[in-house]
Amino acid sequence: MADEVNLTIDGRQITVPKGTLVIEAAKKLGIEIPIFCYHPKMEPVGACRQCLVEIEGFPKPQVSCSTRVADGMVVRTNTPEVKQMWEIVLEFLLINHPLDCPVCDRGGECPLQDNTFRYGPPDSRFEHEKRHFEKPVALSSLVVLDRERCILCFRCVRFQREIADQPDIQVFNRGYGDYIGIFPGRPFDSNFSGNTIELCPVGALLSSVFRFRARPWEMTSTESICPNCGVGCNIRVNARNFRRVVRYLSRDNPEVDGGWLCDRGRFDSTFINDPERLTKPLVRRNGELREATWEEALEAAVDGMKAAGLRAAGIGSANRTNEQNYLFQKFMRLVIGTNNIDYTMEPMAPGGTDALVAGLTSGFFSGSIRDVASSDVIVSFGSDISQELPVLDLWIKKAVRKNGSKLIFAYPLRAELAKYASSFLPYSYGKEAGFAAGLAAAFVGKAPEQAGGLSGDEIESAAKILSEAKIVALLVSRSVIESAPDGMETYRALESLVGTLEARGARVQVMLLVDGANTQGGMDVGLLPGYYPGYRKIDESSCSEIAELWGAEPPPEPGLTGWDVVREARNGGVLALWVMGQDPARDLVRAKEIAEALGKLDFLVVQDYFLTETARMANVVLPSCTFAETKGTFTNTERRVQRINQAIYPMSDSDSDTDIILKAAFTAGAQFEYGRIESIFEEIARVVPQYGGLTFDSIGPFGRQWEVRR
Amino acid sequence: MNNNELITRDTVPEAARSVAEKAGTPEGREMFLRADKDAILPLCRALHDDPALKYNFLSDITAVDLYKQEPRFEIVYRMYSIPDGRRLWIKTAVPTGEEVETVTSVWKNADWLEREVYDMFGARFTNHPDLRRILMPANWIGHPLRKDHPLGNEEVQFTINKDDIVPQTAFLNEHFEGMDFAEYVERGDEINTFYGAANMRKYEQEGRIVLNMGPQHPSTHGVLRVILALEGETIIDADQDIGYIHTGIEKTAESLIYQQALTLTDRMDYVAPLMNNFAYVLPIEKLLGVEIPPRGQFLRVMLNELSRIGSHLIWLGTHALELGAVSIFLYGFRDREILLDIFELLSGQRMMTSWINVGGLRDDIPEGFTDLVRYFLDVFPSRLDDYHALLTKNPIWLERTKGIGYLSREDALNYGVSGPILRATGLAWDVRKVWPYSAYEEFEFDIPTGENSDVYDRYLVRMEEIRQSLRIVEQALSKLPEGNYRIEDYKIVLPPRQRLDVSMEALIHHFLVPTHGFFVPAGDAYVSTESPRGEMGFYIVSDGGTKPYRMRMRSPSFSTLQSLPLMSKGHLVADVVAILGSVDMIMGEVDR
Repeated sequence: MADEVNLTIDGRQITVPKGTLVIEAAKKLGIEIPIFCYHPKMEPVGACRQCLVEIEGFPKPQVSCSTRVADGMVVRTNTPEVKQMWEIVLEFLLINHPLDCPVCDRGGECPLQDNTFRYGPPDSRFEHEKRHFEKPVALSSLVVLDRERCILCFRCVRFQREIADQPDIQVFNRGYGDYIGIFPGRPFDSNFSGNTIELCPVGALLSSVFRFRARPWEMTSTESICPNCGVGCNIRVNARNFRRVVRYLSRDNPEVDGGWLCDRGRFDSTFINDPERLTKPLVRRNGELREATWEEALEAAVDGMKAAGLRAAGIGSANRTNEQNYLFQKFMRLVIGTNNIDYTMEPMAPGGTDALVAGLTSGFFSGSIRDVASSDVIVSFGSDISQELPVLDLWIKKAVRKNGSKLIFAYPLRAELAKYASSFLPYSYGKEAGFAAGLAAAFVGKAPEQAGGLSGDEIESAAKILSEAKIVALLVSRSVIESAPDGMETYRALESLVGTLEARGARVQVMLLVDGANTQGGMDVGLLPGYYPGYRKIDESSCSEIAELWGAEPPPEPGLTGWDVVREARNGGVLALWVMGQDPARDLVRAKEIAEALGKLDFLVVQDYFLTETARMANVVLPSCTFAETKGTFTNTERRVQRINQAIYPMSDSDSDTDIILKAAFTAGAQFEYGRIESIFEEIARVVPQYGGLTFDSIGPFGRQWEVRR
Repeated sequence: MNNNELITRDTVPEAARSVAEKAGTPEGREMFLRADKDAILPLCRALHDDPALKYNFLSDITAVDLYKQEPRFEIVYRMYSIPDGRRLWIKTAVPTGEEVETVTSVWKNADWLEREVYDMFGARFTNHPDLRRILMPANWIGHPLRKDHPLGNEEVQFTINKDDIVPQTAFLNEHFEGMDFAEYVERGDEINTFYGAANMRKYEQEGRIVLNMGPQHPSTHGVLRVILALEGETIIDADQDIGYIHTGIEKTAESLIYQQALTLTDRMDYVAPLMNNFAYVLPIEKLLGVEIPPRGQFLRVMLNELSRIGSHLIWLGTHALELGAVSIFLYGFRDREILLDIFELLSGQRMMTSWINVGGLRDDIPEGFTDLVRYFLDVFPSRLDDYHALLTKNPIWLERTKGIGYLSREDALNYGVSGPILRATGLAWDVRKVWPYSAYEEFEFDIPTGENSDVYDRYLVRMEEIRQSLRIVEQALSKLPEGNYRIEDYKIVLPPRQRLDVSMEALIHHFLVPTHGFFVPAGDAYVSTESPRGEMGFYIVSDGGTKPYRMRMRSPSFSTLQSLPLMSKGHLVADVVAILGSVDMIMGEVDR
């Protein structure tokens, strides 16, 4: 075939697509060639010269990382000459390498050590003074540089330049005097700086958080998901002795994170073993929170909630698992007897949630993260992705910079992505519906004079870009549908826009941007006052459907939203509240109202890892486990259900949230029986139609999306 | 036909002829055959019966789990022609769920060897007289040496999850139909006890006494359970239940790098730990293709022979003690203390020194070492004479040991018995002479033999072996070469400490060799050695990595112990003690 190439490596034939690098072709045959500067996700540079091979017809050895295959090429990697070249390159690299192995973090997981062991000389011939640098140098509060160890592969510089597009780190000087550094006075601030630590093949770039914490063979590695945002990057949690989490590493889910992590997520592991973690349940007696036993605390909690009857409420969490949230809402509905459940105490606009649910259940929101990479126009509406879903940022930058995609960035502020946009549309807050309608209209040639705070011209230029698109990825923030006013109208306008685009022959994928790690999952499993699990709008028939599935009847009327609870609490409409995994008293915008409302409650139960602001106001505080101490699932923004696994034993007396709820139910006399987490998930799969057919096992290590086709 | 062609049932006669033709040639000294599993029994029979071939000694039957490949199991047979010294291997591929015919009709020790393969791998042998588990308890689920056998952290079965845990429920349904879980838990011990004595139950039904000797017993030489069927006080039959000290060493080794696995080997034949180290490193060095420098070889021989003396002193002490001669025990241990002092001076450890490493020794001998060994060589010979004076013509000793525990040479060979017991039948067979290793060919020593093949003759043989070992140690000491005690390849052994201050490469290798482990080229190897109990060796299979894919120890006591019933029939219960003493097995190597 025209775009395939046949070549021979070490006497073995292989056919590969045109443009394949020799080293990639060798890898397909299982032939290992040592490398340092080469990285499959970055452009080859041929800087380190380690991957030299013999290619027939070339008088000199060639770097296999930068040579593309040619038809009939004959490559040799197993001759004595090649082995000698590999040994020599390593010898050169080791000449100036400091004898730091005993104190270097990388020892035991170091490509330089591993390559030297396999291919390098057994002893040194160098008898002179090695090159010295002042070390270590803090490039930022997170990344430390040791220049003596650097072998100048430039992976860090290339990553920042090619992938993150935040070239905060550079090579200075040239030739023998090369060294890595930052601009004077400007720390290595990139939100992706942590990736250079994983990329660095030696111990030159190190994590200040992880430094000196553990040797590789002392750590266990557990597959999990970052709990910080809706991308749900796949991570490995490294722990020591099953007790201390020492770091997160990337896990390369090619469809979600592409192998990268953002700093916010990567360096976030220290909270797990923080000494301030709650160790025992607390019950308020005589005005003070005092330690109590689990029995005392759960009894007090259940009694306090039940005393409020229908005027009880519960708030679940965007960073708790599906199993935990599902049990929580089931507990609130069946045991406490109320539908006043929500996942947030933020005010939502009327009809906003209904619009969101309509989009999810109709299959309108059925796009995926990977659509960004394959679209020629990307529309981002209502989200500062660089802040809210940082790794998604990298996908967009790649699409725009490498694939020539065009970005239409609609956001009230000039956020970072604006500079990549072919069209930046700073509509005004509160005018989302008008803007969306305006854009939809402009697309059919009826551009208004102005809409959503923008001029007609601005909107028209965006529409023009869209009209030339063949594949469109439309990313819509949850907030423009649910919290902004007239969310339903915005939704309808978007529907109409998409309809028209598709009528014109374009393929459109719409993805909802949800910023919490498990906000999507929380909604799916029923943390909504107006819906039972699985987006069943609360009415008589859905009530009996759920009653059938649960073997017991939930309350038949829709409940109060989180913000309703805040308002009602002030006038005695809500007397008791159970908050799991949230600190609403510290809400960025509504702290005052919420704190006031919480203060007016008769009874407050808080289930969390630390004694937060909210917890300080509680009558009962229950110490819960973090995501690293339990097992379960998170559902990310593209509705991908992913597994987290237990990495360490629970800290002191804390208990997993599922166990807390189960024990609370038991204390209340109800029978919630689940043998294991997998059984809870099985029930979720039975009750929530979108999860139908999934099992904890079948989700696999990279997760499975739920979809509803349009 | 060449060695690599697969022998089928039909081509067995041709294969046998071809092997016979090569018998006199250098190629015939060690041959490697591959056979179809259906060809095994006829081929083994031909190799055993044919007078030109006479492979009369089955050294080992073991298996390798190739997991993820079908056929899954490779069963490996190794046999010798004694006293000619020819060796032959047969490998056969057995898919999961399929069987090979038993070769117990050819060599009796195939009985226990095949039982162990069944126990550990689940491969069955058709027509086996008694295919039961041998090392694992009766209620064990699964076959431990399979690569997919869990290494721990299996979910424990409670009432709330018992239906979710399939293997245990399936096991109960298969073996104990109708029994519910609670009852099974309660009766677990009982089930194991009776399973171990399964062969002897019939005597109970006939009205004879069936007596348990052990596993807790002062004179069974370790944790051994002998089940005796008695007519009055006379033994009419016996069986053994072993596995009480099985600690999964072979399995554990698969998850350790080679140097770490070395430390496990000390614990197998625990009275002569250095010998195990020695037998373990030889096949690895064969795979690595390295040669140990002469000084290293001589030191190894010296340490080996000192270990042999130490082992025989334990044998002598405990054997005599159990027959009532308490003083010999104390004398023997007094002298062994000097040996333990020697080992401690060498390594810091009295027993589990792990001092013989891949590539040589862990370190050179320290100052004062030769003096202490010389001291031992000076004081001990006359003490040995004293022990002779106490026992050799002692009427009680003669009464208890002469004519007891007879084993014919035929039977010994057929049971895979080697070492002093085989030599006591009159055959001067010693691996150090027949297949010399590590410079043994440079030493002068004799092989003592006996005539009557009873407990007494075995006593005499071992006493004389001690003297011969003293000769070897003397030679090793006086002719000790200068030079390196180990190879200098830093990809296998650690660089010297001084290099770590100045050499980057040495530092890297010093880091990785003990943590990551050195690579051993793919392949398999076995080297026979002569332990105080007989032929011992480690069969190492490497997949090219840093951990042994399979580490199999050929335990001399394992096969010897199987002949105990034969040696005991017709004797009295008290004689079993004497016979066991003459077997001198160490349960650590039997059970592993």
